[in-house]
Amino acid sequence: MKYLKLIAVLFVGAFVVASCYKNPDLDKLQYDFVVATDYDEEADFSSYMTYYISDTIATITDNPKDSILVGEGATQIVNRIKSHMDSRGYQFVEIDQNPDLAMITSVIQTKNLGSVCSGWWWGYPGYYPPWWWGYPSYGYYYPFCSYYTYDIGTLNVELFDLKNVDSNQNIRVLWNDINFGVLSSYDQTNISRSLDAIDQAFEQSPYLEN
Amino acid sequence: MKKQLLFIGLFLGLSLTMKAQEERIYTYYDKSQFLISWDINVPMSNDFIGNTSVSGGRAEYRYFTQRNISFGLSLGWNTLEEYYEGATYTDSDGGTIYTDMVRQMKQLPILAHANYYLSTSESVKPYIGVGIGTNYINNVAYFNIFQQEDPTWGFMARPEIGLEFISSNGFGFFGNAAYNYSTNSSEAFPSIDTVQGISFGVGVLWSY
Repeated sequence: MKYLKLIAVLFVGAFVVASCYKNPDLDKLQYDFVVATDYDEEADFSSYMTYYISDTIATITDNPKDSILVGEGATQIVNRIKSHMDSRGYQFVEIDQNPDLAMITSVIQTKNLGSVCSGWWWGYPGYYPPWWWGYPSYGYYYPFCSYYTYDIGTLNVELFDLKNVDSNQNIRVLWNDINFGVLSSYDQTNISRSLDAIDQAFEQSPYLEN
Repeated sequence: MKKQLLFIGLFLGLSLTMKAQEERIYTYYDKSQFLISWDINVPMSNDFIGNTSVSGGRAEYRYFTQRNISFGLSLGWNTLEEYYEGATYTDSDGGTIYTDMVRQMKQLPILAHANYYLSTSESVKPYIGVGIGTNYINNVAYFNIFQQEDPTWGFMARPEIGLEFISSNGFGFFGNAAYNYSTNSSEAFPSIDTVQGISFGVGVLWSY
């Protein structure tokens, strides 16, 4: 009888442990792109006047035929960067007019494979521990896994110093902005997230000003 | 005369037996307790997470060396969690990152306890105690579909007050309040220096 009580207490305990292990509630996450910027702290951003940016975006994906951003999206992104650069006091010029700065925009898309494995001990809805039914000898549910793929996109904006190329022809990167996150299956969502990310990148880089 | 002596002898013998039985009843007490509780944790002086957690618990064993003194071991667990809106974080090199995130601190304190009971009653037992041991805390930031983890170990001290109610069959319930102090600090999340908080627990126990 005492052992029965002990077992009862332990089972209650195990159930409490299982139910209190908390998975994060990620529903609130926005899935906006993460915006990471960095810069050369020795750079004097007010010493540059003009910049050039290509209106095409280099894309790197697993599939050479694949392209994340259609022409319209690329134009929107480049135009957004231009408008921020203009508002910071830099003037756009063509590449043959010796710009002080050059900007390169690239997109990298990678495919990832993930899996979710669940068993009754994770509190999967609808599954109860075997003892719940009073038949401890009835078998356990095997944990099962489902696989899924997801795409991660990275939008990379780099700012190069063409004014101070050293004697070894090395071009210094003055500022970069890396925006990354899971991609939606809707291009318009991805473009919209990219534009928001660019806005945020300039907002968190107040030093980037003539 | 012989009869009188016999009566006195019987009387003395009876009273000695009765006294022995009284002592046996008095000296008997439950030596062991299993306790399991649901814990609420209120973080203090913690810039990483401020939200109160109701996702916690504790399992404990107590052994009574005397009627009012116990020593024991416990394993606790609780998860603090909070969502943070998009914000910028800058490192010492000037690099800046912007994201919203869900932060978690998954704690597993493993403690040795000493408790002193203020009453010798077997049914209502208020106590004060202290727990000392180690706290494993896994600090996690979930953002977009990425996560950054920094598991840490620290020394932990836990002064505690509590009250047990035990029925005649050995089952009972209890409540406690404690101050938790851990030395865990995190390199990945510099806002974590020490981890402090108040916790409240209610649970069931089995005394035998």
